[in-house]
Amino acid sequence: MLGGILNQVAGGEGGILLSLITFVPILGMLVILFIPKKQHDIIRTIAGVATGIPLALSILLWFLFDPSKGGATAEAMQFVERHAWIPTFHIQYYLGVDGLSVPLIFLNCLLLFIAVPASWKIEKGVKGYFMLLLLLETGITGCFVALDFFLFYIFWELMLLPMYFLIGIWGGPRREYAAIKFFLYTLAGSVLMLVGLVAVYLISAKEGNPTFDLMALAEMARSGKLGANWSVLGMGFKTWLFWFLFVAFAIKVPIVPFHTWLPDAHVEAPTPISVILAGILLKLGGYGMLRINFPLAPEAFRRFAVVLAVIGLVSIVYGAFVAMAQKDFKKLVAYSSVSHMGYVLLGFGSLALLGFAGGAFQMFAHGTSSAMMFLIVGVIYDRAHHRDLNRFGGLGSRMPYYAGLASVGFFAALGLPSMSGFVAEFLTLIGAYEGDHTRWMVLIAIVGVVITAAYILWTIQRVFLGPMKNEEYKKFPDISLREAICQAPLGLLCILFGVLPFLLLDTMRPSLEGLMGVLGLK
Amino acid sequence: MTVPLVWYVFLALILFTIGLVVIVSRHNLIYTLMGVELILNGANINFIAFARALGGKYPIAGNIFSIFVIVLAAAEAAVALAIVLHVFGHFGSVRPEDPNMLRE
Amino acid sequence: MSQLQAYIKDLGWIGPELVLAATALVVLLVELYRRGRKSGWSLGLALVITLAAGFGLSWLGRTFSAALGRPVDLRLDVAVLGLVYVLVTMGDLWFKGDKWDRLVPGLVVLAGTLLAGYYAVGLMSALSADPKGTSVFGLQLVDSYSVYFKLLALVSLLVVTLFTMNYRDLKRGFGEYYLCLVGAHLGIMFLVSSNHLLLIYLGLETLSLSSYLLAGFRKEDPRSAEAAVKYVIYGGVASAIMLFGFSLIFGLGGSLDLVEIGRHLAGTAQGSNRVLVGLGMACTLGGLSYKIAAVPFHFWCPDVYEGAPTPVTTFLAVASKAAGFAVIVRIVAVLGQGPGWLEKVTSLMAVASALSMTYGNLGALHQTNVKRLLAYSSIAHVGYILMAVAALFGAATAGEGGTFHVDPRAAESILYYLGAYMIMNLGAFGAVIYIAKSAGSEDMDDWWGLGWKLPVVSGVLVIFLLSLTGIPPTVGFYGKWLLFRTAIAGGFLWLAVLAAVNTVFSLFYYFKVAKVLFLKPAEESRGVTVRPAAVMAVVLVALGLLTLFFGVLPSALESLAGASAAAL
Repeated sequence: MLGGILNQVAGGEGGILLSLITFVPILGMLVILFIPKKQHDIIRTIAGVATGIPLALSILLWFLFDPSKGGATAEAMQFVERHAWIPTFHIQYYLGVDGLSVPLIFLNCLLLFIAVPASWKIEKGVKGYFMLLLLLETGITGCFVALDFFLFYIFWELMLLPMYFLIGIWGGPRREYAAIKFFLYTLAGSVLMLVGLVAVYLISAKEGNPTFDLMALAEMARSGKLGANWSVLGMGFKTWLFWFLFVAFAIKVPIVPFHTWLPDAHVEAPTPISVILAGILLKLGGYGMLRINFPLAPEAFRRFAVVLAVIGLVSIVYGAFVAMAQKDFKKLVAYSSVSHMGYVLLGFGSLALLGFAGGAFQMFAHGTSSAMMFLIVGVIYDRAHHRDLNRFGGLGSRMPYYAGLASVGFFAALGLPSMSGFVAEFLTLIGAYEGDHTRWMVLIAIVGVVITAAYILWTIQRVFLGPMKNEEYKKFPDISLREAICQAPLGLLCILFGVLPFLLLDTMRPSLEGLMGVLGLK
Repeated sequence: MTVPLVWYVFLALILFTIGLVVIVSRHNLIYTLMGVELILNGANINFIAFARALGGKYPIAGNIFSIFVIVLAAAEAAVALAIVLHVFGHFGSVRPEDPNMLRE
Repeated sequence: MSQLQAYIKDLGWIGPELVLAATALVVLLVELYRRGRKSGWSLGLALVITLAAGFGLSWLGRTFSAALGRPVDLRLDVAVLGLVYVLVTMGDLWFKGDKWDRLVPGLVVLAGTLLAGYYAVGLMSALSADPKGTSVFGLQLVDSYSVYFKLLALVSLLVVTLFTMNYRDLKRGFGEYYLCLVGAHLGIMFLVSSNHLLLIYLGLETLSLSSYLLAGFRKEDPRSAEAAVKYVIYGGVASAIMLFGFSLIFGLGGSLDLVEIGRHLAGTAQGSNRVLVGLGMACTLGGLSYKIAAVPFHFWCPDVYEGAPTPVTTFLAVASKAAGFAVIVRIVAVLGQGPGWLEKVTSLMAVASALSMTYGNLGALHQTNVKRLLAYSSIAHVGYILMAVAALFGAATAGEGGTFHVDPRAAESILYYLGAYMIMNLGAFGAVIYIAKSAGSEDMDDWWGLGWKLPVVSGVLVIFLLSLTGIPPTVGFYGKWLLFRTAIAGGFLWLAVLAAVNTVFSLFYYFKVAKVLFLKPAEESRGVTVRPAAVMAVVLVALGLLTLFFGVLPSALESLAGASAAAL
C-alpha cells in the first residue's frame, strides 16, 4: 500500500512530488501570516515543519530516483509534471529532475531545515524573518526543478526580494549597503537573462516551434537550428546568447570580476542567511550554466571553454590569496567560497567527463563545507561579538567540542583526503589534465590548493591553538547542543561523501554523460 | 476675386506663431492665456477655411467645429482665470515663477 | 424600425455614460440640498432625476437587450441596481452631520459607478462576438477597445472615490468635487470611444477642465493652487497646439473622421503638402503627449502630482494617462498607416520613449517626496509603454493597398500594461495616502521604521513596488515582458535593452521606499498619530492580491486585453 501511495505521488505524468517539495514552504509561510507576531515559538515550530517536510520528501526523491536513465534530455527527466500555463506564449508549468538536480534539491532542503534552529536566537521581527525564509526556499527549489525557461526565470527573481530583506533588516552594521548591492548585481544579471529569454523565444518562433521548453530548445540548439544566421556587430547570435546568459549566471557563482557583492553580503548577513547564501544560492549559478547556458549555445560553449577554465583558475588563485590576507573571519570564509567555486568553472571548462563530475561534485561538497564554516564562525561571533582573527587564540583548550567539530569543517574546506572537498578537487584536476587546452592549469591550481591549506591551517592556529589572548574568553560556554546539531549533519556529509564518493557520483554520472551528449562532447 | 486657400492657412500659421511667441516670452499668466486664445483662433480660421474649400460630404463640419471651439475656449478661459485669481490670492502675483513652493 | 426606436437603441449603447451623467447631476443636487438650502425644489429635482435615472436606465437596458436579440439579459439586473441606486440616494438624505457630509456624495457616486460598471460589463460580453461594435450617432464608436477603457475608468472612479472618502485633508465642497470627478471620468469615456475629431476634442477638454479644478481643490493649501495653475497653463497651451494640429489634419485629410483622414493621408508623404501634414501630425501628437506626460511635454507632471490632493493625483496618474494612451494609439494606428509616415511616426514615438524612460528614472533617483517620486516613475512607465506604441505596426510589412496594419499583439500588450499599471498605481498611491496620513508627512525622511508599525499596508506597498519595478510574480512583470516582446518583435531591440537597463535603475529608488519603511527598527520611527480607516487597508490588500493573482495567472486579463485589441 505504501508503494501504491508512493507511486501515486511520484509517478510520471500524474505525480506531484516536485510540486510538493517546491510549494510546501509557501504554505507554511501563509500559515505563519495568520499567527500573531508575539508567538515566537509557534512560528519557529511551523517553520521547522514547513522546512522539514520538503527535506523528508527530498530524501524520498533521492531514494526513488533511478540514476540509470541518464539525464539532460527530455526522455531522461524523471518525476515530470507538465501542464499548460500561459498558452499564448507556449509557457508551461514544466517540472522535472535528473541526476544533477536531485542532490542539489536535497542540499537545499537540508540547509534550509538547518537554518531554522540556526535562527533560534533571532528575536526581532521573527514572523517576517521566517516568512521570508520560507519564500526563499520555494524560490530556490523552484529553480532546481523548473524545465521551462520562463518558469525558471520567475523562480529566479522570486529569490531576490527575501534575500534583500533578510540581509537588509537582520544583518550587520553595513547591511543596507550590502543588501542593495546584492540586489542590484543580481538584478543586472537577471535582466541580461531576460533579454536572452526573449531572444531565444523569438528565434524559436522563427524556426517554427515557439517554446520555452528547455529540453526542446536544447534539441534545437544541438541541431544547429537556433539562430544560425543572425549576426549583430560581427558576432553571431549564438555567441551573444552564450555570453549574456553566462554573465547572468557568473554573477551568481560568483566569479572574478563579478564577485564583489559576495564579501559584503556574507559579512553583513546574519549567520543562517550566510549559510544559505554560500551553501546553495551560489550553486544556482553553476546549475544554471549546466541546465540553461551550455545546452542553449553548445558550439559557443565548446569554443569558449578555455576562457571559462581560465576564469575559474583566476578565481581559485585570487580567492585564495585574498583570503590569506583577511583579518575578518567571515570575510575569509567568503573569499574561500570564491576560491572554491573556481573549481566548478575549471571543471566545466575542461570539457572532460571527469572535469564535469568534479565541478558538479564540488557544488555539493562546497555546499556542505562552507555552510559548516559559516556556522562555525557564527558560534564564535555569538560569544565574542567580533570576528577579528588576531584577537582570538587558544580557544581550543576552553571549548574542546567546538574545536573538534570546527576542525572537521576546516579540513573539509581544505580538501583533506577523506573529505568530499578532496574528491571534488581531485576529479576536477584530473579532468583539467585530460583536456588538452587546460593541462597547464593544473599546476597553477595546485598552487591554489597549497595556499588554501596555508590560510586554513593558519586560521585554525590563530583561533584554537596558542595562548589565550583575552582572559574574557575563558568564560565562553562550549558549543551548545543546538549549534552542534546544526553543524553535525554537514560534517557527516563531508566525511561520508569523502570516504564513499560513489554514493553521490552514481547519481550524477549518467546525467553528466547525458549532458555531455547534449553538448556534443562525446 | 476669391481669396486662395493658402492665404488663409498662412494667416492661421501667423496667428499660431504670434500666440506661441507670446506664451514663451511673456512672464505673465494673463498674457499666456491670451496667447492660448490666439492659437485657438488660428485653428478656428483653419477650420473655417478648409470647410469652405472642401465641400464634400459635410460642407459645414468645419464651421460647426469652430463654434464648439469658441465655447470651449470660453469655458477654459473661465476656469483658467479662476485658478489664476486663486493663485493671486495665495502668492500675490501673476508671474509664473512666483509660485515656487513645489520644488525638487 | 422607426426613427425613435433606432434612436433609443443607439442610446442603449452608451448606457455607462448616461449613468455617470445622471450620477453627476444627482450628486450636485443632493449636495445642494444638504448644504442647508432646504428648498424643496432641489430635493424634488434630485428625486426626479434619480428615479428617472434608475428606472429609465432599466427600461433602456431592456430595450437594448431586446434590440440586440441576444441572451444578454440586462433587464432585471439593471432594474434591481437602479432601485438600489434610488434607495441609497434617498436613504442618504436623512443622515446629518459632518461625517456624513463627506460620505453621502461618495456613496451616491459609488452606487452610480457600480451601476455603470455593470452596464459596461454587459456591453463587453455583448461585444465579444463582434468586437468592432457599432457607431452611435455616427460620432461615437462603441467597440470592445473603448469598453475596455471605460471599464478601466470605472474601476478608477470606484477606487478614487473610496480613497477620497477616507482622505481627511479635503474639508468641504464635496458636491462639486464629485461633480468634477465624475465629469472627468465622463469625459474619459467619451474620449476613448471616438474616432471623430470633434468628440475627441470635447472629451479631452471635459477631462482637462475637470482635472484642472480637481488639482486645485484644497483651497487653503498654496501648493494645491500652484499645482492647479501649472497644470492649467501647460494644459491650455498643449490643447491649443493639439487643436491646431487637428485643424491641419482635418483640412488636408478632408474629413473629421479619423479613419477617412488616415486613408486620405496615407499617400501624402511625398506630396506637396507634406510639410503641413507633418506639422499637423506633430502638433497633434505633441499636444496629446502632454496628457500622458511624455518627455518633452512632461514638465507639469512632478509639480502637479506633488501639489494636488493625493486622490486627485491617483486619478491623474491612472485614468487620465490611460485615456491619453487610448487616443494616442488610435491616432498612431490611423496616421501611421501610410508608407512614408510609418517610419516618421514610429521613430518619433521611439525617441519619446527612450527620453521618457531615462529622464523619468534618473529624475526619481534623488527624490524624497514620495508623490514626486511616483510622478517621475510614471514618466518612466510612459516611456516603457511608448516602446510598444512605437512597435505598434509589428514587423511593418505592407498589407493590401500599400498601407500598414496594426499588430494586434502589440495593441494587446499596451492594453494589458495599462490595466496592470492601473492596479499597481492605485495601490501605490493608496498606500501613500494611508502612510502619509499616519506619519503626518509625505517625505520619506519621516517614514523611517514605519513599516513595523503599519505592517499590512507597508507589506502591500512592497508588493506594488515590486510590481512597478517589474519583478515576478507580479502583474507588472508580465506586463513588462509583453512590452519587451512587442518591442523586440517590432525591431526596436535597442529600446528593449535601454528599458532593461532602466529597470535596474528603477529598482534603486523603488526600494529606497521599502528600505526606509523596514530597514530601521520600530523604536526609531515617529509615532503613528492617526489611524486611517480600515476600509482603506481592505481596498489596498485587495489590490495587492490582484497584483499577485494576475502575476501568476495572467491569462484572465490577457484574454480581455486581446479581445479588446482586436477591435482596433
